[in-house]
Amino acid sequence: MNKVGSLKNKKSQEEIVGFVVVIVLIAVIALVFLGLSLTKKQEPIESRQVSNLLGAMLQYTTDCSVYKPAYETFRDLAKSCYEGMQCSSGIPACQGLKETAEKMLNAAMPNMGIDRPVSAYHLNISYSTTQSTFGMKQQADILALSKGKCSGNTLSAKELVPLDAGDIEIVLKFCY
Amino acid sequence: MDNNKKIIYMARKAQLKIQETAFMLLALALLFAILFIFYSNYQVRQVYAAKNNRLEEQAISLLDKFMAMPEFSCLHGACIDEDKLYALRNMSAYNDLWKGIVRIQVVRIYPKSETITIYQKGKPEVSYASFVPLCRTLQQEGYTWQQCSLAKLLVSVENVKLERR
Repeated sequence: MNKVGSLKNKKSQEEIVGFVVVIVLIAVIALVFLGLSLTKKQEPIESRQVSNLLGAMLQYTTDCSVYKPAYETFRDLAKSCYEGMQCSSGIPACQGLKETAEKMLNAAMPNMGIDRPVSAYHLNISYSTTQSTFGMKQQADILALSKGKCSGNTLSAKELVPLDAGDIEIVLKFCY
Repeated sequence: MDNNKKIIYMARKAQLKIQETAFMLLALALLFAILFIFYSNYQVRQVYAAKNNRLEEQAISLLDKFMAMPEFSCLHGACIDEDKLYALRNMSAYNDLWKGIVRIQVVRIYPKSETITIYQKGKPEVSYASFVPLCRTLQQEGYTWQQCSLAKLLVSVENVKLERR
């Protein structure tokens, strides 16, 4: 009689273990899928809105004048910064470039934050040669500016400004 | 008699087994249903976001065409001529051209804030905005150049329905 009871107990224990195994297996599969979909890094999407903003920024006439009486556009100021020029007011072109970029981006995106549609921006200006000179490829960072914390999708735009044997690459990214 | 009791006992046990399997299947189905609901919800949201993005892109390309109009554009480069804007303000001769449009504004956002209303008629419902360079031609010491600021072109229309995010 006792033997029958222990056999029944063992069987029900096996059933419970089987059920638990199935649930754990499903939970693990679900977690793996969830993890994969969350960690999958989203590629920046080319955006017309960001491209328009970058285009308008590049045409902006700054307060910096390298060759008087003309004032530099943001595009030309990036070139002057790479060449190590100074504005006629005495400030380095790179400082003028940074200040102007900051002010323009803050004016364009006044309501930026974690709980806002746009959570962060990144502006990266760099120079690189398209053709290698004597087998050496030149690369130099001109300006890297960012504000806010980027989480989620990214909208981006890129502009190339030709200079000497290479290009100045200006990349603007917005996280939303 | 004993045999009968055994058969009844076994039948009850089988019923219990069937019940157990049925509950298990039900629980599994419920779990999968919940997972599917979450997944489909996520997918639907993604589709709506893509649709909104597409609508926005269409609106921006419409604004690009607007910016390229000779009534607005600069002589050189893709920008809006500020002097032309002031000349165009409240000019009734252009009313036919602005058919279907409720309001056209250019808002300078940097270095100073200023709104230039070119046309307004009725109450705007949906506004499309795009960043544009707003430039004016200046002369000094025999040198001519374009002084550009950062602005937004705002075109408002009515009777257009957009999905809100």
